Amino acid sequence: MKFIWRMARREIRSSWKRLLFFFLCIGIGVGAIVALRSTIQNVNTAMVSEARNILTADVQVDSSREIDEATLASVKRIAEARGVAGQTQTIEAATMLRPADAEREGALMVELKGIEPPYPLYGEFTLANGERFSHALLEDNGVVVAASLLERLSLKIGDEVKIGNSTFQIRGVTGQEPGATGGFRLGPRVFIARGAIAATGLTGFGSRARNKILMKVPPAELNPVVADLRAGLKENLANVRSYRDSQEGLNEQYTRSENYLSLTGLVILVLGGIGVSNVTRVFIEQKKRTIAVLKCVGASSRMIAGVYLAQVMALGLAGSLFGVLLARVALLFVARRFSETLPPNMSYDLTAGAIAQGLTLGLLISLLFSALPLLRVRHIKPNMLLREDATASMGDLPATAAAHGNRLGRVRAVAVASARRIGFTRALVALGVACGLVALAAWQAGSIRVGAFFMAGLALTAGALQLTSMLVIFLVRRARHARSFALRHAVNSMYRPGNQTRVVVLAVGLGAFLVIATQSLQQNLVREFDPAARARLPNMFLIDVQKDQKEGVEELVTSATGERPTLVPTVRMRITAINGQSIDLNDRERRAERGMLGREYVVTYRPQLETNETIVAGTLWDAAPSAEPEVSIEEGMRGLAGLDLGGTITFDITGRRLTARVTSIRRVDWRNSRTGFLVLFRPGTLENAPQMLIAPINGPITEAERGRFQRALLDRYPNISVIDVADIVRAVTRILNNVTLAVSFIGGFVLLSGVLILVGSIAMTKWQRVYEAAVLKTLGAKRGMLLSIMLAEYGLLGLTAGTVGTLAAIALSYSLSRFVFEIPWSFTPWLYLAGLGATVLLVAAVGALSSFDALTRKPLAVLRAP
Amino acid sequence: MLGLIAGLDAPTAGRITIDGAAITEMDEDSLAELRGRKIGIVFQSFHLIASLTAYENVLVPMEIAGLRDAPERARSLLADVDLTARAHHYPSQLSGGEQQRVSIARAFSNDPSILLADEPTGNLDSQNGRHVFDLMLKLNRQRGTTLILITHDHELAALADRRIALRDGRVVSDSSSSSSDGGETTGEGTTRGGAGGGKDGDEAFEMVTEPQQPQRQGRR
Repeated sequence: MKFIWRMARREIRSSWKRLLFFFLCIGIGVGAIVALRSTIQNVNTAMVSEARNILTADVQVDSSREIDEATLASVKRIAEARGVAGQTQTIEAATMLRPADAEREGALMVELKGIEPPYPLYGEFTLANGERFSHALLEDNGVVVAASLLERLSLKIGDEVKIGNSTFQIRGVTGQEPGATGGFRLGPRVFIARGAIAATGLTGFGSRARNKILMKVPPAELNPVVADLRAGLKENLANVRSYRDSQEGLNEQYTRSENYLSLTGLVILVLGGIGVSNVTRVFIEQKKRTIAVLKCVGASSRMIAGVYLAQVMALGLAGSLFGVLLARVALLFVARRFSETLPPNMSYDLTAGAIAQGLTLGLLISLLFSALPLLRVRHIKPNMLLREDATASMGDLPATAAAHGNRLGRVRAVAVASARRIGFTRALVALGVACGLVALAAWQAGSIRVGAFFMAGLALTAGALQLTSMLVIFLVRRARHARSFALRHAVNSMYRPGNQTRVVVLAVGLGAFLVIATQSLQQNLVREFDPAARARLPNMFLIDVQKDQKEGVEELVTSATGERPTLVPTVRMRITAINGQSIDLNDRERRAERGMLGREYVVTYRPQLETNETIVAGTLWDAAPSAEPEVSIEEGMRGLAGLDLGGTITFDITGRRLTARVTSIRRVDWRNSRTGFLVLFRPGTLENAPQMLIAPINGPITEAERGRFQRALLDRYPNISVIDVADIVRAVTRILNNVTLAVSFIGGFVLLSGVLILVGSIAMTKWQRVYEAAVLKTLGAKRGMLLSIMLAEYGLLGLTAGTVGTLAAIALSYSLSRFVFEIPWSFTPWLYLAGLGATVLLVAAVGALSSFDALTRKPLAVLRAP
Repeated sequence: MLGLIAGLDAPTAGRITIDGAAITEMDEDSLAELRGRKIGIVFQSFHLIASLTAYENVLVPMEIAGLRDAPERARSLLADVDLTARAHHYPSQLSGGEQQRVSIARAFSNDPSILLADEPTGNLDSQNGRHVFDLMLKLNRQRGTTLILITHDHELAALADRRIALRDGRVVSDSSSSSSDGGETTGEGTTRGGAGGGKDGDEAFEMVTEPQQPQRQGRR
């Protein structure tokens, strides 16, 4: 054991430079994992510790219905019994805001929040000028708004704005807003007094307002209060939640995203591992003589494998430690670049858990990927040292063997037996390595299934890339007979013994593939959201239109757009029972379906299908209205709590229960929909239910006209809200760009490790290149010629890798677009050409730079060297 | 032949025993262990480990064997071959003669009972060659080792106690001056890639100097 360590330490003195680049790849992988995990763990810690401030309460009761006196009374009873320390109510709704001054143009959807003292129970509420928020600001129709609102409507403090039927004066701009998490919002936040909302006329039935009761509860009473409230409000469809619930939810959510994101780091690490495996193979090849000498002086194969394993592991550890350093730098970058979108009190230190995981992974990957090549140590026979001395006898071997045919049989039998044994060991080790990798992926993903699928997917991708690269390399090989000497020589170089062509093509190709595929996908997605490209689809939705406003709205829209709108009646309802079984959302078995069961359904009724709907089961009702409630559900709802054709759903419509039978199941093509409904009622049931109309319209084209139209509409019907698709597209595009940036960033890392593998493999075979260059020089090649050979070689390598990556990217982007996002895919040649060109340039430049000294060495010195 | 004795090569037929142990029936690792204990080898082209210093090269076999006093012994061996001053040089920084002296020191490091030398002077000029050879003989006598030397050099061969001449892998003469309990050759085998079987018909000698007589049986 001592010998192994000593020997490894001595050997590493000379070997580390050659192996370094590959362990940088490990470093990048480890760095990615440690940085990702630390960031998310830090966000998680910050959010969890802030959970109470984000909820702005210990316990929150949340309902989409107005909280009536009876509910309030029972809440009050529970609060008194349990010693609740504080309580306040809020209302939140997305609605329209416009300047009161009729001369000023524009209207904007805002997120209105009605508050009252002692809001907030937890969290800081400050104004932009640094002062603490005071409820006095909201008295007598005051309003405190987000800074972005003033910007977008060109308003200032003191100006008056209209919300619904009421006029408010802007009294302040929010600084730190309690409970703000930087999530998606339909518009800027606007605070008014809760009591002022009634006068705006916005909280009438059917409005989308959310009513909340916030409570401050002594810690010991937290769980009892939640339990009491849940029991007491069971019939009200109110959602009761404590900050601990949100902590649990956050933990779950962040752990999942942390695990999944870490898998991307694992991709980089596995790529580094492939590099390690490759380098170990070449390394052992180069160390053959040393190994033979060691065997001559009495070292067993196991000892020698131990020596090289120790070296690999030492460098793996060094690479992993370097990765931790990288992660530290990455977090400094995150702190500078993203601190605005991350929680304010978040730490940007690496977490101990993430570091431990990163180091373990780096070491394990080094171990797993070097195991197979290290087995080669056993094949190295010490007698090669004698052979080398007496090369004359080497030629004899086949002849002598043939002359002793009968003995040869025995030799062969022995050889075959030992080969079989070695083959068996190799297979066993290979199996172990594969299992180890799956175990690592499962550990990282936090699920065996996901880990196995991930590894299988990775193997498939690598296999596909490998196949493609073999094909491309095969084609490139035909250029061997090219006219240009440089090109011919370059192609031959790609096949020189010990070449790393395949692994470089795989690694660089994978990086190029990720970057190009992401870009291509982004373009297709953005195009899909581009309003100009979807002229047939509505670009504006008018919602909350009341029945008696129907004609007026139709008239206004027709005069503004020249097109008569279709107003669709909608009724909001919740599911209370399926097939007669009432739904308990706290039921563990229902956890996965909680979203679908607990959500509010916006339904409509009509006698016929829209053009984007098809029946997949059952039959649609005939045109005649029926008093017997009948519904058609979207196929995605099939199986929900056992729901199927012929089953029943019990709905709650503002307190009234209604049980309807499912008589058909529809498929909805959501992409081509002006409107889309999960649940469709047969006419005859809902006509008298409280309802709102919505109108999908193609609004005016220009920004200014759109603003004027919205303004005119709101002046006449202040209760209507306008959702401008252009705004949403803007928001979605922004998110999409961020996601693209993040994925491209990871793709860039993969590309970087590909380039490092390239640099490393050049370093491994450097002597060969230097020697070749020296020979060519003595044969009369000038430096220019050598340089062009080099550029041709690496250009060709880049071309191969780029082609592989681009082909794979096209395949991925096409299949994701068509089958996952279900959007049309279009071929964008310039993107692929640019990607290909960039890859060629990158590889050619890096390759030529890292083998530059082959050009500058003096040939005689090189040729004389032993 | 040297390969066969050292267990680096397997004979197609026959068996070889060293000190009563049949090395032809040993596996790779036991052979390595045996070499570590009993056999020292000096190669024509030295075969030092390029990434280790002279001192470390001498140290390696003793460390493999797990000797406690390895550092002291390595230093004294280097002193024996007159290389104390060059102990911390790498092979590439040493001359051919110096490298061969390091390899001799390495070969003696485990106090082997058999020292195998394969054309140890073949890659050296005559002066250096002579020096190296003298050194080997000196150590051989001091430590009481059986030295088996493969050479094309008749002058060197003449210094041996026993000379066996081989041509194309077959024994053509054996100047047995001591009891020949070993080394008889039946000619029923050939050495594979064996020692110095010159194609050009040169004779190669196996020369044995045996101050002490270890049991050595070889049927090839």
